[in-house]
Amino acid sequence: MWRTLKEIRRYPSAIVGLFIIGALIILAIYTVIAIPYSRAIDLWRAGPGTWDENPRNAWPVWLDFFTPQKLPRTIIVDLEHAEVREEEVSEDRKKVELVLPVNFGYDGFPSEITLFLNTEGIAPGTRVRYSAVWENPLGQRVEIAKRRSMRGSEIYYISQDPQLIATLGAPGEYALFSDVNLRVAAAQRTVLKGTYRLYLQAELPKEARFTGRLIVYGRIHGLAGTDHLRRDLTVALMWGAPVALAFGLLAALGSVLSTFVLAGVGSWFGGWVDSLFQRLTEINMIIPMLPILIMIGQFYSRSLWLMLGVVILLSIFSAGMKTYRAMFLQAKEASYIEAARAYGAGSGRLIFRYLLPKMVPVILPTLIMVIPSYVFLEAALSVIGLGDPLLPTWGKIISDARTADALYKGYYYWVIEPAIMLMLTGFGFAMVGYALDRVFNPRLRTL
Amino acid sequence: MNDGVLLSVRELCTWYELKKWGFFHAGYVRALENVSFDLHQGEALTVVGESGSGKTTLLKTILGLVPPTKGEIFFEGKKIAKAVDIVALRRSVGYVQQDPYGALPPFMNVRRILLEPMVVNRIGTRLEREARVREVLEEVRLTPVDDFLYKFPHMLSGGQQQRVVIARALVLQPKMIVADEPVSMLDASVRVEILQLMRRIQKLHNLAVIYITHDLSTVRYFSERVFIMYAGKLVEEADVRTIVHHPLHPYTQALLEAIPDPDPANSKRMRNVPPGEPPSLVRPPSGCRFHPRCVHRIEKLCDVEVPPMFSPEPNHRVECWLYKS
Amino acid sequence: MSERAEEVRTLAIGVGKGAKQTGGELLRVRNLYLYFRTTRGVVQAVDNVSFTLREGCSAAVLGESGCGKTSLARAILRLLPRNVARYEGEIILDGVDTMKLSEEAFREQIRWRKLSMVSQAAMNALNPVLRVGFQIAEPLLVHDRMPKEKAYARAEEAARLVGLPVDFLQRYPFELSGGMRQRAIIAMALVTNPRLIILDEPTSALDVLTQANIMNALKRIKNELGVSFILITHDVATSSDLADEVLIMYAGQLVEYSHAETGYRHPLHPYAQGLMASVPTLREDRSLEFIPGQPPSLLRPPTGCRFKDRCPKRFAKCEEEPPVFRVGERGELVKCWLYEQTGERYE
Repeated sequence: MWRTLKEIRRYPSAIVGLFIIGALIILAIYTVIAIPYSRAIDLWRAGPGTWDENPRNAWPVWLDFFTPQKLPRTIIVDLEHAEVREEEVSEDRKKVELVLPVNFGYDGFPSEITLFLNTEGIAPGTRVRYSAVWENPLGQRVEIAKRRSMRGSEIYYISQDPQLIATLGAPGEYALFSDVNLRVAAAQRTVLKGTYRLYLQAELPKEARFTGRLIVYGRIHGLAGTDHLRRDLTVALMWGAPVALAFGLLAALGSVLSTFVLAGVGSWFGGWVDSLFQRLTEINMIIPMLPILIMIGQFYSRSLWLMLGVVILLSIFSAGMKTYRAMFLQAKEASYIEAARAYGAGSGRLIFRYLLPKMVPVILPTLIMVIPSYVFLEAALSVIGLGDPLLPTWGKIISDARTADALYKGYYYWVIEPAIMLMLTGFGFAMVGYALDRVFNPRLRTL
Repeated sequence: MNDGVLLSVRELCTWYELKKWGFFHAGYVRALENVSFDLHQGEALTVVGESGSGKTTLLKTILGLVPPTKGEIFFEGKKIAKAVDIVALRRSVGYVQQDPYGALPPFMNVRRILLEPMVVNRIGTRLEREARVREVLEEVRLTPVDDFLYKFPHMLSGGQQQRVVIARALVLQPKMIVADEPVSMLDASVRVEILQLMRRIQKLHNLAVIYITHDLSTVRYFSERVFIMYAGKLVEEADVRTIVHHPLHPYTQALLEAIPDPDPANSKRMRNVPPGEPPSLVRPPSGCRFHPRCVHRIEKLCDVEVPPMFSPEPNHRVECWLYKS
Repeated sequence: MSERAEEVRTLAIGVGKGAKQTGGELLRVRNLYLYFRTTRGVVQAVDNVSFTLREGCSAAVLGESGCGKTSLARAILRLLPRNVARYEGEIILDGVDTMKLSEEAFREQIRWRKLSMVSQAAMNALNPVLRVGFQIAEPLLVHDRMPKEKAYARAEEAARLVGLPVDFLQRYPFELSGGMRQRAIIAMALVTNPRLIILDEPTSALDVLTQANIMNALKRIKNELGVSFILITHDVATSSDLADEVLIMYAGQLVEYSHAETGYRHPLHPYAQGLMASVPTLREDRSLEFIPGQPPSLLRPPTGCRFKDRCPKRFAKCEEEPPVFRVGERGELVKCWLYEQTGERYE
């Protein structure tokens, strides 16, 4: 059998397929090590604070290659970039001024501006007032916040502030990055490049600390972009690989092997065992799988592993039983099996050591080709909303994208990336499977 | 040479049941009817018959692959009745099959194939088994042994494959070999080699051999005694010379007439053979099963009553009304 | 018997050529090559085969499996697979060089008109969903576009010739036994009144008695219709029933072509001698001999005489490939250096 496996080398499509599968496996292994399961789930839950530094719905960074303009990336301005001035006001209070510079050299407007403020060292609940003034390269100043109060920490979404929008005539990310005096809509503004400054002033008790962080969100981020919850899609794309492979492989192995063994046992013993298996198969073939999965998902649980188990169970007594049984019935008449009976081999040995091994070359192509069907099944389940709610998978990305109307809003990358991954997987396995089929097929004639 | 009786078969009948729709009884295929004979240790016996004559069924019944419907089999004096007996019988009988390529599992190498019978029957320690494998490969002249141990069946020629089949039959040191058309699928020149090999092994180990074939011309190179079977019945039994030079049963006579020697004169004359085909075994002809095709048929006798075995000469039995003594 | 002869004469008159013609050449094969391309290289299945078959004569092609006999039949009938590497030579059938004909012309004029074939295990070649009678008549309906009644009448005649009872023509193949089906196939080959029928192992899967009956039928057809047969088989003994001449092939080459008397009794070529000595005989008391070793691979045939490694009469000159020599007054052919002195080169 190994000699025939080497025949695969003659089919270039299979080499490509093997390459793809190999790459997917390496990706899967790397992913599981680099981002362990629990961490992946945590990341994907997108709890508060997890993805704060990512822009929302950003395209992948490599988009920059295709556009003549330089697309903005996220700029994070921390205390380390800032000038800090402290001034004693009274016995126990001080005035702190932070100047946060932003060097903006991009050709487009940022997507969002957000200010993160934090006070430490004071009793919780203590009110602190701060003001913020924005200065653009033209020297124009805008008062963004005037004696605004905060307790503990605050996140100020500058770009969404309705008062600011009303004052400036356009959302903050546009207005603050262009000529302020122009009272036009966002689309008609041109971005100003240069150094911007945000002056933050606050008055607090002496022992307190005042920290501020300004994030000017870009429009591109990461290898794969981000979604509506600011999650970096590369995490999901990477994690999709082990999930898809595991689901596909386990489902394929579980169902095909079970069908194979049961068909072998049934056809060997004949009689009521065989009849029973065949009737079960016929009934099972009529029952549709997807509605059952939907029902289970709706009324019981959507856990991926449960779905996997149900899928395997429902696939065991399927059409494969009939095909394999036909092949086994013919194969069991082979002379060497008769000879083995003559030298005393028992039924168990005959089935598992003599009959089944002969047919392995036949199910190998089937096994490989059936894997992508299960991968797609998992994706399909996710898209219709039955996917595992916790795990980031390719199907989940598509599902989220669909719910967020990605295609209408022009976030094509969000849909295309998982689709490409799914297609590559299918392609890889299919190419290898077809080549194996062609390699093993002449053997079918000597059954 | 002729030691005691090893195998004794009495009035053996094997009928296969036909079922309509998997349930309903629809008659019997009377594949073997009332066969009786003795086989001695060290004796070689050939069973000759066309397809449907019952020769293969006889073999399968003796090996216990098919249960007999009536009659008895005795092996080494003991009656074979229970499953335990069959197991013991199988250990002492080697089976050589017709199609060497089909008879060897394609996914096992020669060493594994030869080890299997010992493994299955739990005979010998690992070392003993390996030694026996080498021994048996030497016997069938597949040398140097190491060259063949790890080869797979498809790497061997037809003749070599058949040698492996013979080796496998010998592995358990059987007392008897049953060979079903062992050379019919091999090339003409290889047949001779294999037949001679089997003959030599038989003589060396004093084995009893039942050799089944449809090719009467190979018989003389192989055994002393011949059985002729037709439609499930044993119709004539004698030694080779007698059968060839004065066959008694009309069917045997027809067989001999039908088998040519490579003689250029053959193209000038027609062969005097009876027309027709072997009968259906589900509804065999009444009386003597050959009577519809028999030139010497006696009305009201051959078509009514089944002839018993007659013995017109010593060591020569015929089942034919012509020899009513 | 006379009634049958009467019927046969009607059939024969329909053709225009009756019983044995004399003397003329029916099939002339010259320098025929057929090589196949496989994943492991080029297989030289038929390597420079030349012979002449006279009218009214039948020949047997003998040799072990893999010697090229079936490929020779395929080459003559132009039933070639797709991986042909080399196919050339001269095949003159009844005066027409068939190699020069286009595929379409070959199909219309030669195949199943002048030349037909009964292939191995042909009884499995019957279409299970069509009645036997229809299948026998089919070549006439398709090739000659004969009206149905006439075609069926000819089918009946052919069936009678092969010994197939006429009422079986209304049945389906599964209702017929193996022997009957084989007869049906032979009738199919006969029905267009070809000049030459190639039979490839026609009786190997059949019982001895049935085999003898079919050989009888073939003999009858040969004698009364004047059809020539080329019988390809590895069963040497049975071939003697039909053969006037013997072609012996080894490793893709024709090593001997002699009359039956010579070929079976005192063959010329050492391989033929070995082959005849290994045939078991029923009536003669003779010990059997076998040829040790195996035929060479057709992928990379050895240089020189292909039989040299197994030949008991090998000598120095055998390192060079021998040409074909014409020996004796009957013009028998043998490809062996032993005949260099006594024979003349055959081109």
